[in-house]
Amino acid sequence: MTARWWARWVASCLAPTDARVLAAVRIALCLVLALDILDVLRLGLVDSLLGDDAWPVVVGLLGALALAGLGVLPGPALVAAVVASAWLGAHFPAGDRAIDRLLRTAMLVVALGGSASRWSLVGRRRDAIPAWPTMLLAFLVALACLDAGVARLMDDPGWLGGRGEPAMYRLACDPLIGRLDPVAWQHRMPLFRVGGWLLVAFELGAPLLLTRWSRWWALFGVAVHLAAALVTDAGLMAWGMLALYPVFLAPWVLGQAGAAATTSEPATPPRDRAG
Amino acid sequence: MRDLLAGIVLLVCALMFVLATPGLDVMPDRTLASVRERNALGRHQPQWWVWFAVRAAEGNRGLRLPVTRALKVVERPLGLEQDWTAFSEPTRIVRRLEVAVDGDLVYRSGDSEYAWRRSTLRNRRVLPVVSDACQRRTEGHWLAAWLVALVRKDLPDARRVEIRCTRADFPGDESEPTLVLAAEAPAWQVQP
Repeated sequence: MTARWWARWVASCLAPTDARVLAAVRIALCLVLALDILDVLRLGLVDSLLGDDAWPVVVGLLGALALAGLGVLPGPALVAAVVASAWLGAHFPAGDRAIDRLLRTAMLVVALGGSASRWSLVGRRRDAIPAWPTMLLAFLVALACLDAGVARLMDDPGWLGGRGEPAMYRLACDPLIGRLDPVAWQHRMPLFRVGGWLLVAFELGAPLLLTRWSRWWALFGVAVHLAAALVTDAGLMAWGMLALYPVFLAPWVLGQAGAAATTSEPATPPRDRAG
Repeated sequence: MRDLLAGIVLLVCALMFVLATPGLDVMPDRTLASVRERNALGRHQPQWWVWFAVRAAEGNRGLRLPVTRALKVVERPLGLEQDWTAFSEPTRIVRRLEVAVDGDLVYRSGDSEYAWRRSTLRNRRVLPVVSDACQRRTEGHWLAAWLVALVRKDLPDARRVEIRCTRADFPGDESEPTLVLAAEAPAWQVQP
């Protein structure tokens, strides 16, 4: 029994999977992290938040992200980006949030996973790579979402309650982080209540991301993260999570695109029958 | 080689799960360690729940936390020490940061009329600093000194900068200050 389970586990870790999935995660991760650090540059926050000595690290991080995004030695470039990002986090711990650490873990997985096989300027093209990097990323996302849901309910069971002001309202209208006007939106409480239930349902149902229903649950997740990006100034927290969703959705999207391309190709003329 | 790789992947998954065990990751080390604490829980919860909570706390202390402490050696240099309670719950209190220059309000959280340096103060690296100061998790002096420096850069004629955090029970209610720090020319020393 154990031997059969182990054989199945080994087979699933090494099963060939579309190399474009991990390449999509690599590009998306590099893009959101580069935009995040470019925002720090745009606002002139490097000196004041990260310190004068952070400039070489910031430039190095951007360079590493650019190289990795383009697929030039993405493995070493991503490891360098992780080290640079960790250095910046250590120099301004208040601004180094859970999402930064989650994305550093994801970058390490992508770095080791052979993401240069597709959509890279340099590197030997391979159409299939082993499935373990995408398995690990999927597990990471599912675990992070499940934990967030459990912690949310332990912190405040009011997320499921039907009385009082909904927790989602407080989140979206909190002047410190929310974008919605608390007074203008206070007449839409049912909307926030249902939104809160949906958020908790998505998070507690996150293990479904590891099942055959993953793409449907991932679509739900995309909607949740997009909503978070719209109604709060969470920034990287929403976009960083979305950068990992190609793990669930890219196989489906690429499959659909491939099928569409096949059907749009001119049909092969039937061979003339002999005689 | 195939088995080794699959074994490593399984180990990584297991370690991730231990680090992030839902519910236990937010449980402090000494939770339910004392008889008094267990009895107090028993007064409000059924016995089966107390039994379950005590076993969970003991398992956390005896099994999970030693593993998480050992893994910090690897996690710290790479900045991987994960706080698994991402997307945390906002407070029930409505808090705002206000910045006033020479008596005139120039910034108020969530108020488009007073939006001086709004992009800077809403940057995701700055937001936690503001949040911590306004929730009195920090004294706010660093934030105040930084804001004073920004005001002096943008408004060189300014003579006095006041940084306030306010709280109200509900949006639109009268708010009261919870933190007031100010600095004046020429010393620009931040003081309560």
